[in-house]
Amino acid sequence: MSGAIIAAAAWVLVAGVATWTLRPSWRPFALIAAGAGALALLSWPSLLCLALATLATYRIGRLREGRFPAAALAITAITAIYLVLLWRSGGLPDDDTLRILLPLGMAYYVLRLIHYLIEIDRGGFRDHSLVDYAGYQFFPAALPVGPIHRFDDFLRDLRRRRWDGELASWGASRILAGLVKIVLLGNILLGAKLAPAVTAALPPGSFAALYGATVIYWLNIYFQFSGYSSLAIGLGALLGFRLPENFNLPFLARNIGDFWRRWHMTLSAWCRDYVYTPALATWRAPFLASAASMIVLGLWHEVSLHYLLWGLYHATGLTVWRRWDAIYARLAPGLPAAVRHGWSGTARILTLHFVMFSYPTANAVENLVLNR
Amino acid sequence: MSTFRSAAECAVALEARDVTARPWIVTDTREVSFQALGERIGRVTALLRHRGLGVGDRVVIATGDDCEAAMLFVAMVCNGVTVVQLDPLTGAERAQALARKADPALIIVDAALKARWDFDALDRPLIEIAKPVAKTGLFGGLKRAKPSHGLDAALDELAPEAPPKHIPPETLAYILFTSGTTKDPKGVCVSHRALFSHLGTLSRTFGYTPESRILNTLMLSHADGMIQGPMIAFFNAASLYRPVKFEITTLERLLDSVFQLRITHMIAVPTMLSLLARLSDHQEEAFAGGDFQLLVSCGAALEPALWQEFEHKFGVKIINVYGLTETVVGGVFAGPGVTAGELGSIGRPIDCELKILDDGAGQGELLMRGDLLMSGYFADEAQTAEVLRDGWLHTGDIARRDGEGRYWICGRKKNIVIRGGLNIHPEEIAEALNRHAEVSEAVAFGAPDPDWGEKLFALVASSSADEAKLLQYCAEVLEPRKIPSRIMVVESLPKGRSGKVVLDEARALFDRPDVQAKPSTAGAGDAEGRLLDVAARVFKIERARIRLTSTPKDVLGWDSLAHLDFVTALEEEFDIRLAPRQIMALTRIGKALDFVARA
Repeated sequence: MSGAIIAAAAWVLVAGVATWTLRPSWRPFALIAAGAGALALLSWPSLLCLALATLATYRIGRLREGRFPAAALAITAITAIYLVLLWRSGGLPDDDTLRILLPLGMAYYVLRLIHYLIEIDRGGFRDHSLVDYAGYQFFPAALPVGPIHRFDDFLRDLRRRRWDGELASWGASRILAGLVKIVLLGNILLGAKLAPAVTAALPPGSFAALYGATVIYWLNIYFQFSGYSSLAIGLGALLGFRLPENFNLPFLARNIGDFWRRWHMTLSAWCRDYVYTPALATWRAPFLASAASMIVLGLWHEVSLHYLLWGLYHATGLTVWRRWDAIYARLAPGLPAAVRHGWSGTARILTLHFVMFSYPTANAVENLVLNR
Repeated sequence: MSTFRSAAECAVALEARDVTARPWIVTDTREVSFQALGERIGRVTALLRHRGLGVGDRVVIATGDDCEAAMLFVAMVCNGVTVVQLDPLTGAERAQALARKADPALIIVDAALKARWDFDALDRPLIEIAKPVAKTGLFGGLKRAKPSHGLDAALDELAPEAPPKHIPPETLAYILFTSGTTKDPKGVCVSHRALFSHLGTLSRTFGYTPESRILNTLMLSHADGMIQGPMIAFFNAASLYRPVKFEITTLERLLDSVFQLRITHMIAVPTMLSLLARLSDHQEEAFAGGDFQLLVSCGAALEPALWQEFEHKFGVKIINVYGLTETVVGGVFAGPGVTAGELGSIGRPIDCELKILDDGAGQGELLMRGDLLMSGYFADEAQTAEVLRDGWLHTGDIARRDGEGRYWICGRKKNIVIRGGLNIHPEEIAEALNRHAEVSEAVAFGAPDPDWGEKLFALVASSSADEAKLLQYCAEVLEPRKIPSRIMVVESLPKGRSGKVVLDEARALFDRPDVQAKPSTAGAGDAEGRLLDVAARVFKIERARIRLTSTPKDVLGWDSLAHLDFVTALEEEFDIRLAPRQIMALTRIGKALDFVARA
């Protein structure tokens, strides 16, 4: 498999250079070829899957809306297919191992497909061709692990694409930063050095050991995932596109709402736009909307009771925080500055711990439910 | 003696090694380098000599191909041959009248236009511009066959020759028929002195250099298009970009081009600025790509509110140009680096003088003097004497001057409608309507419009004609931009004691609420029928010829102006409000049904 990965990376490099050197009318095809070729080298059924999905959603987008709820049916079908495949595959890989069952990149492009169908139903993007749209779906930088960029932004960058030395050198530095996060900080420092040291130093099974392992797990997952996002954004910039940021110092979040605006930002923004907002508009009940949004976010990772509970846990957190925030807003003006600063720091620590303990808590509740 | 850079000096400058490979004009389909331009000038020079034409002779040019029009224009100017350019959208009758009046030694015209305008009837030496024929077959599109006849074939036969080194400054560079009725068209004669001294003024004021990349999508048959486009690029060895035809559906692409092409200067009319400010979403940073320097607003008055809104929204500097076709393009400038200050003022004159014929109330007709003035109206001494007196041009605009030396336009003496930056003489419209067999009398006039500056109304006395019939007639005989927004048919025109039409009363007729509300002919439930009715009315074509699948390409009258009228009419008919994105996405009649269904 690693041979195929190197071949795919080399192919993206060659095709990427072609997107700058070919005559302008051929460049969009080079962009598609970059993503499609990499997929073909890694797993041809994955290529087939994305190609079919792209063609189908493009065609549905061209149907005259209002007569037949094609978009709604397509979204239902896409969601069902994804959930079944995800359920069969046993969840998203936490590391970079590649699963056979879930087509490559599907977790991310499923959200892009749905985004396209919903937005086109809402009034349409500006004029675009199948080549433009395929360029979006096959965009090699965002194909493996996001970010979940939007078609509008992609189209604008595509139409404005020009060689920009500044953007390219910024992209190269983002790639370097990504590699440092993944390899140096994540794999070597946390994975190979710190994790065994902490395990060895603390009594097995103790709260301290669990706590230490949890901290290292979250730091590692942050460095890995934000590292991959950095790689994607950097490669995107080398190709002349500005992909959206995915992380913004999430462990400094002031509250749980803030955390979700800083952690896997493009996913939470997707859930906000396509689950939370419509749900809130329909039910007018913030808790239900939060629950729907966080459950979707959870089940996107894995179809399991565990992630259902995880979603509810976060929805509860969001609702409790909103209530508290309303109360605190009334109290705050009367409090001394020192207390307010103290609370601000405490809130950050509480938020971090609320996030860290989402998995153990969900696990505990799951065990309780299953062993009843 | 004036010290402008002449055409010959500009042509020589093109031979500098660092210039030749650079693009002079880039359109969506074609790129012309300075080297190609230099060669074209050489071959046109040879062609003109071959035909015995030279300084002072007149050549009529009419082509829909922008690059061709620009190359011919520059090549003629370099030879001291006077260019008479005709707008390809001109109606046949008017085109014939203009060509006859120009009395040219040669006509160079698109094959299709020649047939449409029946130019063979003029009995003048004529060269056709034949379209290159695409070879068929698998790679046919890659290589184009050279035509065996017409202009390209004639040029290919000749070896390039150097254009004359000296052209007397009073030689006419071009004649632009701007206004006047078809019976009595007015041709503005611009000399080499006026043209080249004003090109120098524009270049210094706007800071053009060979590195400038100018975006100007205005029509080349108008001064702001040709002079502030191909000519100014030629003058500065700078590059001109015409990436899209300006339409509401191409607004976003235009902004993308500003960023992608690293545009430094953009030339626009206020209508474009109004549409860009109102309809573009999330495009604010289009001008923030690091290259943009200046936006030049011309053609019509820039409203202070729009000026401010646009500068604020896009973060650009705007310079407003006040001028007339009679002053090449400008003369008076307002904006950063020229006048600090008051938005809405036309600013200060540069390289020319202004004077106000004070009527005693601190304002009066604005007069201009300087090298930039036209030489006169072509073969029309009476009209010339009326506006050019003792070296002063009477602009027909009423102005005042403030304590800071800035000038302000307060009114108009001349009867003219400025719609989307283009001047329309209402008499020409009235004349066209009067020629209709069922019309006994007609009058046309302007009314304010938020996007287009002004719109055009016509009031017609007739016992049998109706609006639809007359609009369709207008579509046949007038350029699309000159077709009235509304035509009202009445029994007789409102007249004062002197027998003249009272325009205020005529205008008031259009303000009546029963006129503004346009009752639909179809039932309320039939959205499709109502939509087609609206489209037929707005685009001025027969209902039977319009379909849900019709696009701007199939519908002749569907230009930017009509597009916005269509949106307004839809919003009224269906009582909906379209979002900017929807307005731009409305590229097919049927799409409106989706928007109606969603509203």
